[in-house]
Amino acid sequence: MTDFIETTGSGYRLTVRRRTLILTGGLLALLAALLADLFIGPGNFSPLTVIGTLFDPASHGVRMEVIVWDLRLPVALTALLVGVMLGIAGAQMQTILGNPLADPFTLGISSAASFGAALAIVLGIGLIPVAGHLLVTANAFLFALLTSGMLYFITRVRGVNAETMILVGIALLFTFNSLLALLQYGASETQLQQVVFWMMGSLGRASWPKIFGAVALLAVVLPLMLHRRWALTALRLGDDKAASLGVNVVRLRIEMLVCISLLAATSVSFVGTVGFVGLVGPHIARILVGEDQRFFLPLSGLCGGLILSIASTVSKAIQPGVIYPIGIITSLIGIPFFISLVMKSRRRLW
Amino acid sequence: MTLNISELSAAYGTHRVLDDVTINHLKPGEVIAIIGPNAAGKSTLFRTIAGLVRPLSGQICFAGQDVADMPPAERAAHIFYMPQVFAMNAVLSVFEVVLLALKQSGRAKVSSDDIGTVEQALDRLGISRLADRIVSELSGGQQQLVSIAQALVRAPSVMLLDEPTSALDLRHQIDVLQRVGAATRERGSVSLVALHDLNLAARFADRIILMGQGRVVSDGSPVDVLSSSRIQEIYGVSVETGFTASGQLYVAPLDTMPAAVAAE
Repeated sequence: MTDFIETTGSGYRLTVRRRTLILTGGLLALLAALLADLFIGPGNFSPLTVIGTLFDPASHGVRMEVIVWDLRLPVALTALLVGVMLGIAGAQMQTILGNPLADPFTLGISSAASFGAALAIVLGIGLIPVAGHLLVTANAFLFALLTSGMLYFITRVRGVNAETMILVGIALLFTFNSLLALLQYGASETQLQQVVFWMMGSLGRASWPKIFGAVALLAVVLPLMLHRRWALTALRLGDDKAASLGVNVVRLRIEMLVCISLLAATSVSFVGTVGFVGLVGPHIARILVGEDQRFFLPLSGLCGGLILSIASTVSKAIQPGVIYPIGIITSLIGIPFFISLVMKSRRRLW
Repeated sequence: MTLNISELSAAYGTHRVLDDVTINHLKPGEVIAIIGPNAAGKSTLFRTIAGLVRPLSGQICFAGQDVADMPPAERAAHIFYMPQVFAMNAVLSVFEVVLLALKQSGRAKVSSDDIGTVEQALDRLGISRLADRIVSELSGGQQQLVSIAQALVRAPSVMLLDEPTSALDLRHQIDVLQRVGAATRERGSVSLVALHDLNLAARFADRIILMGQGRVVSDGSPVDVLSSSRIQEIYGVSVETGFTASGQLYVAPLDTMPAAVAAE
């Protein structure tokens, strides 16, 4: 009897220790990926020069300062932050919808953003009057949020449950896809090209204000999600079970929908549609640590950041001087890794 | 710390499922079996008490307070509801699932005491060897035992168990109901258990409430409620009731299906 008692508890403690180790490893890998992303780029500079400039901007001259601080660091940090945002947004979308196919863009958020961006590119129409390329970003962001708002009000009428959210979300997705196609149909060749480029995803639009915005958003959203960690974990046992354990299921879903919308809208307005990360990041995390949100949530973010960081590096390394669209590279390099993980995993994937 | 249910009615849309249900005088340490044919309103009664269904009218009072005014977390700390359907498909181990039930009502940080409590519950139900298994890989019966373990660690004042033995073999049916009884008496709490097996109800319940078409048809000791005429009336099945050599009340169906059911 006593033997049993000692094994189950110590077994659990061991699992917790192993997972903490995996999280630490993930964090280190993310740092390494960030550095690699900084080292690689046009104009072969030695890693030492880059690191030197990183710690002391003036140490290697103004040109290096501009390259590291104004060009490479914003791009690398944007890749990382967008990856983290999509990773955790995807994790929570899968959690609140109870669906392994869900990702931050499942409910039409990215189609709405693409439509908003296309509206600005093709017709120059914006929801708020701002000038220049910011119009596209602002439009993408606002349309993404607008969709979530619509989703919220429609589901509110019928009941905030996973089925209603998915079905209404899919309807919104097709609506915006059609509207987008309509715009593309009427667009000129140049505009069409711009729209397509925007949708492929690019880190070229990175800037420090955007980075601060993303960090601020994460600083609000992550603690809230972690505060709800037990409730979110319980939600995976089903609505009834979670509710019977005292979770306010409807409120939790709405809270998470708001968080996911902000994360997805911010990501998509910054870099365009990068679809793969938000779906696969959480699955990798789930395979590695299961669904206890204390580990699952941060690791989903780390995996997302890692994937996009590596993709950013690869997109520059394939052909010197050419930067391939991040959206394309992400899926291409991520899929083989993901498939191998799926094949190797002996545990349940969902 | 007792539960009083007075004149409770509930409906899904226009379909009334609970009709003026009153259950009171629940004594601490008592196990009450809720029996009745399918769609008699047993699950809805539990869901309404647990706050998952909003009542049309009537009142549920716990310790003198209307539970409708309680925040979900507080209500769930006092009243634990184990749903009937609970196919768990999360990538969580048995240990984690039981710990989760404990952490919903307590401090967020996992203490050594928490781990000890979970260990004990698993051990009591004889599922320690499953601790590391992913719940979705378990059989229905094993998942049911995990759910019971969740109930045990929460140590609520009121347990609502919706057919807790439906997927269990004979030995585990008896074992689980014995444990529920023991835990209920130990803590002076109250357990309401929906059961289809009338013999299990007769054996383990201190009191039986027979429901039919959303109403309480009969409420009392097993001997009073389980009369052959009443079972014939509510279930439409002729039964023989009597006592075994050891003095245990039993209910045995007599003939084949009545014509009305067979024709369905």
